[in-house]
Amino acid sequence: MATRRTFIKTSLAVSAGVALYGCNPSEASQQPFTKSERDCLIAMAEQFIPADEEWGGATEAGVINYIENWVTKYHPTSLPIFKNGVESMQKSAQRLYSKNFQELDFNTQTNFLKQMERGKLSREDWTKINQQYFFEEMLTRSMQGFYGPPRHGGNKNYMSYRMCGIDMPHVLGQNRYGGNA
Amino acid sequence: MTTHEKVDAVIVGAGAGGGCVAKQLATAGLKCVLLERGGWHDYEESTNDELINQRTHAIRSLHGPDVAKHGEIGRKSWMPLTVDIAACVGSGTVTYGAMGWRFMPQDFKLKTLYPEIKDSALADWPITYDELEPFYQQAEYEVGVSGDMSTNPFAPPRKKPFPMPAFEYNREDAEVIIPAMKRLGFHPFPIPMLRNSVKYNGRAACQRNHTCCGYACPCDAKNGTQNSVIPVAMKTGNCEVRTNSLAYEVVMKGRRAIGVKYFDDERGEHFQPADIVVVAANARETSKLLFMSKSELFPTGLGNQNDMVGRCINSHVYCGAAGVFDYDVSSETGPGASVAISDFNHNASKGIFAGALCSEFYTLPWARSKMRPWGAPRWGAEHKKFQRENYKRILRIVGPVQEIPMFESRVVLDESKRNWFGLPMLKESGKKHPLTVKQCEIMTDAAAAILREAGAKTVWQQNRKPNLNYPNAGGQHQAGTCRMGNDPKTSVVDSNCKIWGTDNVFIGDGSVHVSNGGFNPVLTIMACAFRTGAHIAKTFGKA
Repeated sequence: MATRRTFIKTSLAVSAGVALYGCNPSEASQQPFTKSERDCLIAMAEQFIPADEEWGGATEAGVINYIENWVTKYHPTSLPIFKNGVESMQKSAQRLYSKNFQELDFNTQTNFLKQMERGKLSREDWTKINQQYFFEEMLTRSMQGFYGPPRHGGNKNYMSYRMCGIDMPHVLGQNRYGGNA
Repeated sequence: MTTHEKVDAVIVGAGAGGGCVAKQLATAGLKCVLLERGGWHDYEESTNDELINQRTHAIRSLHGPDVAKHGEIGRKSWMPLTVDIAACVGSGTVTYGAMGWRFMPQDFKLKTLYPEIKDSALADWPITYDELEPFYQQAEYEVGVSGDMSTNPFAPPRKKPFPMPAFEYNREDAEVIIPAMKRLGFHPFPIPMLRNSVKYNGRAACQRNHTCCGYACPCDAKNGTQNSVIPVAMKTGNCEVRTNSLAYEVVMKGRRAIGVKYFDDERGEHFQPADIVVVAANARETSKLLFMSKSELFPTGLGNQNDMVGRCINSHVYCGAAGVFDYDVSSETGPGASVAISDFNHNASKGIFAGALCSEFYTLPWARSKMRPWGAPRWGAEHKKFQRENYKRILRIVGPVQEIPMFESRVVLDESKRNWFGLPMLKESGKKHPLTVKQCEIMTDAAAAILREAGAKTVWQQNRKPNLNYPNAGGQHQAGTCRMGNDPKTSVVDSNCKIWGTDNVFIGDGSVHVSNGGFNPVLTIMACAFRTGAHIAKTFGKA
């Protein structure tokens, strides 16, 4: 049972987590994904919520941190979905372009995902998991990471809340995001 | 097995119904134990987090049952659950949207009024609106409802005004939606709310938080049983609230219940002896408890001698429309829902009893990211652009359409699936009635027409054609599984909500609803529970 105080501590730890990865051995050992897997998920999330001229996208908002929290803290049993999903993504990308998904240019990635959304990628590459299921899973987690509260690792600096122009805290006329929150 | 000291009454479930029954019994001098499978909610835990709450369940629900224990073994914890109901003291009344509707007098005699509807399990209630009216009033005053029906020509009759004035409308409802409704000939009025429009019952007035529906109230201005009737019951010294206690059997000796067996949080077994048993665990869980309570006289489950337990489950189909305006129309005022029309409840010209249409509860950015016109991109730059441009430009009008009760729409035990306690799970079967769909069409068309009239540039309908092959089932409005009636062959409880064939077992939740009204059912659950409690107090009371 987290009290408000421990919650603040936890959320601080989460936001600091990005910086800690790679330097702190105990943190590093908890990394659920390899660098390549992580880069693939980051690229997917950025496709779902891309940066534009005004607002950052999933990468800048730290959506990957939310997904890492999801598979380590919130629902650890779901890790194989992401592991198997990325593995199949790369098989399909290699078959089509002889590259990993994250190495494709932006528009090629978009077309790849449109195929995947409709279940059109080669079935041979998707034996461990259904491509549409993985697509929907990643879409849901990416949207949650970007549009959900920052305490879960994504939506850095309330990016999406600022973009939508909503009051924070959720009290009318109290639009105070704090110094550098 | 720990056997506890005998009490006068044991009540299973501390939600809307159980809390009201407990208050009636405790204030009449009956010693009672109120069993609740969840715990007391703690506001420290209950922030305005869109991903952890009772509305979205995105990461987890906050006031629901512990999925690891109450869910099915083997079911993955991140998968959607059918246990989408609350589990804490106050249960759904801690986090609900808090619409405090009375049903209409017509809702109690659907069979008489709509004799031509075939292939349904429609029936008249054994009680009339007039018999329930004093208890509606009790619920409005003791739990606390704000409202004003003076502009609703279809309003059910009332003997006393609401205890609190109605909430003022949101700006967008007052300036945009209501004028459009009036131009179309509808009759808008403020939604009656189980929230304090002014200081009431020793608690503060509502501050119009965004995160209301699905969340506990930060200033305790939302009225549930946990902050109204249950504390009153406890103050008498006659009511003990026992949390983390999951009932699994009503123990019978012939026609008499002698108590309830339950598990504590560590799966320890307990027996609570009592002279009266009241089951108020909600439509699904009450059925489950009765199914599991097999005895010599009731070999297929308590009250199930005519195979009626679990049948006729019905809830509401939520349908309506969303519209995008070309200016910032939303005032962002919580909870979002402020105006309703009742023009489609028992609309004789259309031959339907349908439901109310209301402006919809406020949603936060993640929920909003799923709200798009048909065919609009679900991701990518266009999706994000839509979110950015339209966050304050979307309004929705939705309402609860009554599902027509069907004998074959039912829940039964699934013995092959068990949870951590070793108890079987429920499964559902059946279909929806075609008239349910016709009502959805009429309501969604009306909602879309209002939004277009109000000036929305893009309008899309939601749930216009629900899938007929899905059973009537579940959700927070579930009801009807132990229906009230005058004939023991076609009902589970009599008009006092006592289970047929027993001397002392009552049901105190929405299970007893013969039909579920075109409204959120909670005030009717409370009214029936107050009435049942009053009957028990009069029959068994000491005062």
